[in-house]
Amino acid sequence: MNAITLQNVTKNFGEVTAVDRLDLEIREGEFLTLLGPSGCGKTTTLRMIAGLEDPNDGEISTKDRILYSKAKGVYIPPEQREMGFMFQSYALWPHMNVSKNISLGLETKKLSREEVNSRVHNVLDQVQMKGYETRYPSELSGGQQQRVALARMIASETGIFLMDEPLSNLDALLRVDMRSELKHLHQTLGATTVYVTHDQMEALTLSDRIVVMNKGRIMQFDTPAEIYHRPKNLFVAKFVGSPPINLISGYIKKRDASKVFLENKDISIDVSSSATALSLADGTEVILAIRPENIRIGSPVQGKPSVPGTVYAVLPSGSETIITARRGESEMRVKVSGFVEYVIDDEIHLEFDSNSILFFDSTTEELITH
Amino acid sequence: MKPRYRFLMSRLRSKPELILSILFIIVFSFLIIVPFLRMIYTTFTYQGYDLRLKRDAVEGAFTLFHYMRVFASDLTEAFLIKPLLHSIAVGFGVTVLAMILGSIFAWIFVRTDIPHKKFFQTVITIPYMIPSWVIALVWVLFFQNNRIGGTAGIVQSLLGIPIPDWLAYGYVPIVITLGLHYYAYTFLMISGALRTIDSELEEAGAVAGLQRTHVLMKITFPLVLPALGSSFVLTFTRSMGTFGTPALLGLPVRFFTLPTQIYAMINSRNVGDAFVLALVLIVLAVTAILINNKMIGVRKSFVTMKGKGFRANPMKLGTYKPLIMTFLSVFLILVIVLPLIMLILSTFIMIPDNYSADNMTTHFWIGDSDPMISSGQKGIMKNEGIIRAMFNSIRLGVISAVLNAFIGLLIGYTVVKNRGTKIARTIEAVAFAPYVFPGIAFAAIYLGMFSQPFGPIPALYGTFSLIVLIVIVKNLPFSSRSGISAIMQIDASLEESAVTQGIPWLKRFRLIILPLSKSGFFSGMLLTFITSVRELSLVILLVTPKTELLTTMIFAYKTQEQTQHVNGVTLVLLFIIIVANVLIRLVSLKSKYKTIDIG
Ligand SMILES: Nc1ncnc2c1ncn2[C@@H]1O[C@H](COP(=O)(O)OP(=O)(O)OP(=O)(O)O)[C@@H](O)[C@H]1O
Ligand SMILES: [Mg+2]
Repeated sequence: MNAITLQNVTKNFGEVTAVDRLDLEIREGEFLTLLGPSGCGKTTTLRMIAGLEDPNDGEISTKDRILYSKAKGVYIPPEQREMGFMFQSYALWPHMNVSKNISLGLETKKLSREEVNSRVHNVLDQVQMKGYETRYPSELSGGQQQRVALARMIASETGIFLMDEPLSNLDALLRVDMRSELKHLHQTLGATTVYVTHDQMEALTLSDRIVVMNKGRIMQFDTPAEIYHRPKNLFVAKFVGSPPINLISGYIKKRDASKVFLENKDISIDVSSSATALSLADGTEVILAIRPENIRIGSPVQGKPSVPGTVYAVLPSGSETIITARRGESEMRVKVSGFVEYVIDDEIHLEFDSNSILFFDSTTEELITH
Repeated sequence: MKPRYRFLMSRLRSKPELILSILFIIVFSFLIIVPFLRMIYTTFTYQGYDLRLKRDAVEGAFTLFHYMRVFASDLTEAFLIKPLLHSIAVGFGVTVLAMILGSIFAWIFVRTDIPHKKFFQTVITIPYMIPSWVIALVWVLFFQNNRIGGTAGIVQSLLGIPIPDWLAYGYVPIVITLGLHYYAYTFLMISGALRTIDSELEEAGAVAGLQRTHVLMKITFPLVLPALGSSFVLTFTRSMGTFGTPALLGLPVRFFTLPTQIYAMINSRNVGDAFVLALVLIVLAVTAILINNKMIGVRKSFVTMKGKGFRANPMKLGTYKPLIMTFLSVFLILVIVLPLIMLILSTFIMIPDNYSADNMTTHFWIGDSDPMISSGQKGIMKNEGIIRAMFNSIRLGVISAVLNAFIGLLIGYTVVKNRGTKIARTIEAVAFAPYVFPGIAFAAIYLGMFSQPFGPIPALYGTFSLIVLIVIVKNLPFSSRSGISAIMQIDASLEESAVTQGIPWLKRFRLIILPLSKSGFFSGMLLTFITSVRELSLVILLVTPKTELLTTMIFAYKTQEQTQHVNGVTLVLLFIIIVANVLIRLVSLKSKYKTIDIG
């Protein structure tokens, strides 16, 4: 059952096409993230669902009604869409105290005084902000303001939560804390959540499914694992993962039916152990992609994909160490766990995990599957 | 067709900014655009007045008669050239004087370590709050001579110095008195600009080896040049189009400027020619505004009067301190203290040019009617006419302040919510249009337009409502600007978060937008109050004995040469303005909401 459906939704701001013929089906109760670089249309998409922005074309509907369709002449104003929305700036009303901020929307819903009070009480309890009822927003820390905004959204019990980069104004430590709180909250409330972020780590940790967007279009719509391990195109591969995925451009060199190499002017890698590589024609221009954690530093083994390189930089960060190695114009990053020391300019050997190698078509930038 | 219509209607219903746009476009068409078109139409048709001059004319028929008369006839010299040159000369003289004074004060208060800054700054801007023509009244009190205006002024009667006509009336006193009003305006603008200049820029120049005068010429001056240029243009247009002072100091010697010429023509019912002159004045004002916008960029076209305070290092005045303090004190005494004292004193004197103790009287304040004095006018405190005028002025001020503040906020909401669209730009521009309409001509149009029922509006001829209406429309440029800036300061997400909470528009406006724009709302209201109670040219044609205001009362007494009543009623008006001013200061002192600091 789809909680929200977008069909062919387009939004232009003058010359700029912010969202371009977008189709999206959001399942009931799922945590869905819109992920993409700045300006790719995430916020605009979210605002169109909420009704704060009207599409130029297309249809938006929930499971029981159409919210927006020019063709069918249906328009439900944002006030009646029954969706919670959390703004990047929190948008707490500065002249009202915490409990008034939460109760104002409830009072419009014709709930009884007791009902309003008990809901305010409950949601503040849920976000661990009991005792702050009479504080004004300017008297709260950023994290506390964020909790109040969250409480205000939960209180209306709408079943659909829309959140626009709610964690982006928090410091790094608090952000990690709030991630687990959001995830916990989602699991206890079961509300359909559409979450916007440009932080790929946040998207991977929180989501059931992720929509990767670029220039108003969907690049890939999948589970976090699929997005991470099998990016459909170069854009997704590059955007997701930290440190970023290693890319080596070259062409396929077939020595014989079972001996295939990826070559460019600096490198020659034996990729015979990759089934995909075997299926490619001789001379095909491709981009080899491999995540830093799928590379080992070791010694050359016959028939396995590997490449020599020179240590360029070593960046330990406690639980892991990133080693950058260079070979001609190609640069590769390797992630190994723990503190590891290498000497700059030493020659090392990089060994790729055959199962983790991906190939992208150089011209279409699409993932090559066989 | 049907779904399309339903779609449009349901969208329109949930978009208050669109409903408001439509509303404003309709109302503005009635109250601003139609009057302006009527004005143009009038200039192209024969009017009743013209029939005497031209036998074969048919009232209402198309003609270029008025344009021929104003631009190319024997009367061109008297109707157009002279008033136009006078206006330009007045504008130029006033602007130069105001700029010199304003720059000096701005420099002293922003850039030096002069003591008692706050106090001096407050006092020095007083002339800006009071009507510009009050200074002209004081001038008359001092420099009148007994050849033209009846009794002699203080200088002649106390010191025995004969005052030549050119010093008593005409160009010179007009420029001086208006200059002493407008310097406060240029001071506010220039000091605002000076304050935004980081003194580090100047220090960098000094470090680089520039001399102090070089720093001033090469760094400071170019940086404030846009502000100087803009205050020049704005002061020039405003002083050129002002009515009160040239009426008081120019008319007795038949020194006409464009506004007084328009007034004279309308008084003699020659509206066709008057409106041609009004159009000339409008064209001049629009040109000046366009030049100004070009100069400082459209976005800053309304010069903001406050700037962010940088770490400005005040210059040490050292040995010059006593000199500058003396200059300030003498200036304040001559321009503010002494005039005020003499204004008060003059209302306690029986025979105008006699300042001896036995000539003192309280008759003009609390006396009963005496046929021998002031044509039997009662003292100000007992005078029903004056009390009614006072009541009317306050009523006008309060009503227009409240309505203008609300309308301005609604305009601001509409413009900001529709930002970037043609509708928003149109509404903003039309709301600003009354700024360039000469008050007298605007009033003459309204008088004609509302003498019969007009559209849904009943005949308003001679009513107080007409006065309120025209004052509100004339205040729109200011109130829409402050409404726009008030709404701009409220982050859009604050209303949107209420939208997503299902809170309907009226409730959002009442509980969120209104409280968040409160501080600007109140100070805007009080400023509008002051502007409205000191309005003269706009209302002088519209008042009737029942709807008389303090300002028009002062002018009426002036034409009857009842000096004590003129000055007494002026004091009442000043008192009201000062009280409002004190209120403004109290309101802006009250703490505002701390905005949430993010990131
Ligand atoms: N109100 C607007 N007027 C004009 N252009 C707009 C408006 N809102 C968004 N845009 C444009 O539409 C595009 C998409 O904007 P959007 O805010 O949806 O991006 P985003 O993905 O949320 O980016 P970010 O991560 O920076 O928040 C951008 O090019 C933006 O400049
Ligand atoms: Mg965004």
